[in-house]
Amino acid sequence: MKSFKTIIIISSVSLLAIYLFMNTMEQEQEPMYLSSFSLENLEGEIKNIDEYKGTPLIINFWATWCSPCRREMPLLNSIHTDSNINDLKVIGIAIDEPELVRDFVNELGIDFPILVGQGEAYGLMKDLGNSSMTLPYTIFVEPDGLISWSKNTEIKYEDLNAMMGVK
Amino acid sequence: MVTRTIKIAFLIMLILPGMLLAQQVLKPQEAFPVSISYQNNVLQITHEIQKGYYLYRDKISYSALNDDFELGKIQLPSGIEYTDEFFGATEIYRSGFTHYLPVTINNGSIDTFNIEVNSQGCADIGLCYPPQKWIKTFSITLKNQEAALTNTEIQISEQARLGNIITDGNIFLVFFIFLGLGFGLAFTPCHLPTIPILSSIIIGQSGNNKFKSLTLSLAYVAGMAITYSIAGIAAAIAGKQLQALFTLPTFIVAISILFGILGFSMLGSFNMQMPSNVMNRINNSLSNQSGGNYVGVMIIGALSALMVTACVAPPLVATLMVIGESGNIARGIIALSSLSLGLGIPLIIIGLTAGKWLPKSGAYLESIKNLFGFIMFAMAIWVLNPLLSDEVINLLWGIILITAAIYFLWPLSRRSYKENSKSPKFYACLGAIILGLAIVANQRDQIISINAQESSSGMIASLFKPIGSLSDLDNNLELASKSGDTSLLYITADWCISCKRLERETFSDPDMIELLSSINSIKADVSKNTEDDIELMKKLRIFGPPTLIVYDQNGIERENIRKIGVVNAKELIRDIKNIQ
Repeated sequence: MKSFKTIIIISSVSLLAIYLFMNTMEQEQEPMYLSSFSLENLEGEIKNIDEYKGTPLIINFWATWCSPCRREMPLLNSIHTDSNINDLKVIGIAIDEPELVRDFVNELGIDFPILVGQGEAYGLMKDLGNSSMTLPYTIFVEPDGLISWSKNTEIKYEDLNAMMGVK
Repeated sequence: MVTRTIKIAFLIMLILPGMLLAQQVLKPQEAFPVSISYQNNVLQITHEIQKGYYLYRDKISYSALNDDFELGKIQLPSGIEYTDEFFGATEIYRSGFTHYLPVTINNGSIDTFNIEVNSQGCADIGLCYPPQKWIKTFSITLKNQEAALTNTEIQISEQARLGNIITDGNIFLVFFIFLGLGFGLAFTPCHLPTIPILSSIIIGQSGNNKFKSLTLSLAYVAGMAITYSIAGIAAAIAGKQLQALFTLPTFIVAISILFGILGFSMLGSFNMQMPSNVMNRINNSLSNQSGGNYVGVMIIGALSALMVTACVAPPLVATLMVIGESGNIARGIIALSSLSLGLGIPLIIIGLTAGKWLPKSGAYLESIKNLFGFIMFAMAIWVLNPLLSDEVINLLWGIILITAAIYFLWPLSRRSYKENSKSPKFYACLGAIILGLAIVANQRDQIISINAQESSSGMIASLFKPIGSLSDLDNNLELASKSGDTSLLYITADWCISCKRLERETFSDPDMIELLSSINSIKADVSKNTEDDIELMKKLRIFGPPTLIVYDQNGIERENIRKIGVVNAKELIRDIKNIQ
């Protein structure tokens, strides 16, 4: 009977160990890098993301019909305008009709640059790690292009430390 | 104290998956599945909504995709009042509902119709889905309830479903599904050889020490896991064509010969079981070091896994192919190590009992060993399945059955008739001989009659028009759509075992043959893996053969009824008829 208990302990501990091992492996899987892409801005000019190479970036995918996206806009805008954070750029990518986006940007007073796209922007978001194609989706890009953080739900003030890698 | 430790360990194991699942986001088709059915001029549209997700009432709409039918007034049930801080007062649905929509059919000569369903929803965790558009098909001729419930929801076969789990699933889910799958596979006859191998190790090395026998079997299972994990890595690196390697005729024949040798060794034709002889040597050379026994046993485990791989191949290959496709090594290792852990569960149980359940000596053990020998012979034939026809395989099996029966009957002949008349073994052997003779006689007749006629697989092959490249396919589909034909593209290869099963079990169905000859049936043989084949597979996003792709009258693929793996004839006929 005693040995049976030992067996149970051994097997549960080994299962746990295997599980934890897999978990760490899962997290450490292939780092993702931002690759070059171009989208139109609200003025209709084509902008390439490579313009921002070398600066840390927050890229936020959103749409006008998405409530949580609206809720996080003031936070993103304050990051953009906050002079304490050197060189950090916020870029919004709206997956929506350009006219709706323009009205929205004016209404909320968004200062950071906005790019607009349709299907191709969904594809881009998928490539950047959001395969369920939900909005909002926010990533933090290191100056070398490494995507070090991402979140597929509304971002909160509490997320900022993790996002910018503050330990 | 011990019980407390167990409780804590289990508690941690219960909490962990919960922590992981918190960040898991459903795909739109999982969060808001839609199904439709038609009866008596009314469409029944059911929206399901998962807990924590919601749909906006004013974003739900339906429209007819052509003039063949008209939709009546849409009257959605009222939802829950909801005030959005930005969009104001609105109504949402938090739980599934069914909407009955009157339909007027304008064109009586058509029986399947496409309807567009639009919806948009969000989740409470703070995310929204883009507006979703679903094309749903319904049929007016299928009157009975079950058939009317038919809709073209994504139907993927087991293989593809496993693939999706590996690439998209929660890692904990991957672990448990493959653990369970492995456990199931452990009971396939193919895996049986590992039991005598392991039990001989245990009996030989551990005596009655339970702890040692358990640790030995764990080492053995760990060895198996190593082999499968290496296979996983190799698959991820080598990519798709690994399946071809696994099913190469030379490989199959080699495995078959290996089984044959194993069979003879178990019948005692030569002194030691060949693999354990080799393995014992490995073991001895290692046992000078401390813990050497375990390393040796682990190596034996790794080698035995290699031995039975050919047999566990179909599910293993499915897994490996998906890994090769996604190139995700980490997930591949996890899937395969949990698979081998599952395979190892019965072995660990044997370890737990310290071989208590296994007969230790005497005639009984001898009989069991001999029986395993014949099972090995049967396996040797079974792995030849892709190379030989059914009839030949059955014939060989019949012969083996008779041989085995005579083999077991021989010692009995020394006993008196009176003794034998009481022995169940005697009757079992006689029964087996009669059964074996019946099989042999029957299969011999069939082989003769088949040789006389055209072989059945040849006839099936001629139902499909071969195409060689992507441009061939495009031209063919264009022609078919000009004449308004539905097309069925069958991706096959010489080395594909499932294709053989598909031809034997599905395409040979009389209704299926009739359907195949009435539509534009084409096939692409990717055995040679030429540039054209690779391009075709890549463009059509095919994991590998067998894959069935259905194109409608306009030459557009109906992705929702793409079939991967073996499907039954009924399902395939129903789906093709549905879109005609």
